[in-house]
Amino acid sequence: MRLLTHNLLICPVHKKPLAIRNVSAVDIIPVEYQPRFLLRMIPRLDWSLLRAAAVSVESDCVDALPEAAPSPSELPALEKAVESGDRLPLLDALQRLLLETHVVGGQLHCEHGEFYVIADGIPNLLADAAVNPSETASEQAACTTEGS
Amino acid sequence: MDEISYPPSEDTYLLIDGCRSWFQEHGIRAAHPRTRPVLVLEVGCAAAFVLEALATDVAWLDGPQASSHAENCGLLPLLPFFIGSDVNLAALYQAQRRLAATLPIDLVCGSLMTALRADVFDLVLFNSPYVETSADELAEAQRCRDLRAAWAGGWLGLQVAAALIRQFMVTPTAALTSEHHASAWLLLVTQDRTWWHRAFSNQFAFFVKQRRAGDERLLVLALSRSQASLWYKWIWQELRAVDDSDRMSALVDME
Repeated sequence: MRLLTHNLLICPVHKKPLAIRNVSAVDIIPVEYQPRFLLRMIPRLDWSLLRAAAVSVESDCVDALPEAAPSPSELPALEKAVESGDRLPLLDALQRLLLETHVVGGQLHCEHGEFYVIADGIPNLLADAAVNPSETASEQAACTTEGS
Repeated sequence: MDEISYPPSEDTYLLIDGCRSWFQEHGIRAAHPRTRPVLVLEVGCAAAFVLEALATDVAWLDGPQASSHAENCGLLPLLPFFIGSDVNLAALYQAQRRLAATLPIDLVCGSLMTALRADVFDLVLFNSPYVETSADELAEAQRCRDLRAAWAGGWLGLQVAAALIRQFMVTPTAALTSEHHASAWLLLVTQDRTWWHRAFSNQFAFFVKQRRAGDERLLVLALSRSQASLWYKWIWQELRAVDDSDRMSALVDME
């Protein structure tokens, strides 16, 4: 799962963004530079979630991300720079984070307490796959009853 | 059941061909850098054959006008990114083993769009489970999340499609609407029923393509967000008109 995809996920139960924690493996897989795609993504991103995700995966691009996303009025200048062939540090960082950084193992935590597991690069966001640390024992008991 | 997911079949190819037809018709818009679809979601992607086909050859998006437009302007490439979601985790791992890690495809295990922001995608694809089943059969298929979930469609083979249409019709935030110039579309594969032809004549959906596969007649149709909303209101009124409270509550239960 790339950090782009992470930015678009929500908790299926509470509809809140999910924080990446307990990362066990991250892959960096370089792909072709996509500045025009990245510019189209900027308005859609949850910027603070992206910054937090970059910290969670200990990316070396954290410092290249400004506190806030470029505003709509700044985008035309960025587009112009991209079309004239400039390499912008911001877009290099977004390329690395959104398109090349894959969380292979870890957890996605909802602010309400439950979390979802990312295993072998695929997050399991089925509502009943949520792990609720306080209720795990009782849920397991319920499943056993249901199965019998 | 031994198999994890179904191999590609007529409905798989119909969804791929439906994308081609739809964007060839809308070629000029797809060519424009600001309105070109760049985020694509396939709901119920199973082993991701549709996404693989669409991601490895984006000619479906470019059409004849678009590629010449891009060449004439000397533009940098603008390739879409694809997300596939399915309730069948085993099928997703099967897809992941097959797909190159450099392809712009990510896979997420989830039910319909319940774990995704519904407002960000330009294009949502769904080869919906369209076989008419009893409510019990649909519930059992969804509980087990096995091969049956790929075809069990509830009443009129429409119940799961209706649930997705309901999730798709959310209104994007003002910030997204102003910056997000492309209009979003839902492309749906379903069974060809008179029901849908009434929706076409009411302009609640656009007809894209039709195909006979064995003894099944299949249909690809397209809905914009506003059409999805109109369609949903319409089906609700239809059910109320015949006082079909069972189906009305089934529609609510799917949410």
